[in-house]
Amino acid sequence: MPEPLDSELKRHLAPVHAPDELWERVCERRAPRRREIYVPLWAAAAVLLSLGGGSLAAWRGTREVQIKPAAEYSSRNLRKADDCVLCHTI
Amino acid sequence: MWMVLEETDQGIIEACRRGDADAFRSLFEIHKDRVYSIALRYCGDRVEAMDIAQEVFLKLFSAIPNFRGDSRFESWLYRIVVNCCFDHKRKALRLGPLVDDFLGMLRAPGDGALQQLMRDQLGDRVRNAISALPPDQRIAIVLRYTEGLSYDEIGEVLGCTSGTIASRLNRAHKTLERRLAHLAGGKNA
Repeated sequence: MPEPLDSELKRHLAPVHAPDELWERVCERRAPRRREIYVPLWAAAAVLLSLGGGSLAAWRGTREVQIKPAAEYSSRNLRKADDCVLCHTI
Repeated sequence: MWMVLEETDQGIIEACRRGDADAFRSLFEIHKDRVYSIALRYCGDRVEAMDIAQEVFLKLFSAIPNFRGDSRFESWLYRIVVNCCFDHKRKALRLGPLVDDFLGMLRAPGDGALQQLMRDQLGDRVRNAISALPPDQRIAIVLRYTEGLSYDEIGEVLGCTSGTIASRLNRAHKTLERRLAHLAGGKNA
């Protein structure tokens, strides 16, 4: 390592004093902001999930109500051989 | 160097673990220059160095209750600094230093201005050559020149042998010699 380069590196990489405002910046960020952000996020996610689950259950309930009479009607008719022309004429 | 600091720090570290606010301030005062210097010499930018130093102290204060004393406190602190330096991403365009340099040139009067300009250019070339080094070589150079750590101490911080550190420093010196040939006695940079 040549001497001039070594001395230049020592000069340019010498320690420096930290700015005074560093402590203020550290203190500003020490407040637990993350928790404040994440609590509403979790609450919103929980509300969305419960709303989604509720609406899905409601939709399935109405669908069953609509499908059930139709299914009952077709099964009742199929039991009668006369009505099922296609099957019973073969 | 580490042993002396370790003894003086011990009581403060214990107080920090108990959550003593004054002890946090004392620990900050002892180590602020060291942390900021490494950050600045590694990234070469004052704004980024402040961000890194801030991050280091936040991590230090939140993690100090978990510090078990298995390794030296200084070594543990240096590891946090090094990790923050490696993790820090360059987010903003570096306009700050350019503006500072320009204003410095305008402020510098007469013959002194030319000398100042030459000194600044030399400093810029050295800084650019250092910042162009790969991160593992750059941090080794910074810990060696800024903190004056031995090969063993750097190896302890970076988690490798002193032989590896010697090799990294050797490669870094060769690269810097090539890039700063005018300082090393060559014809041109």
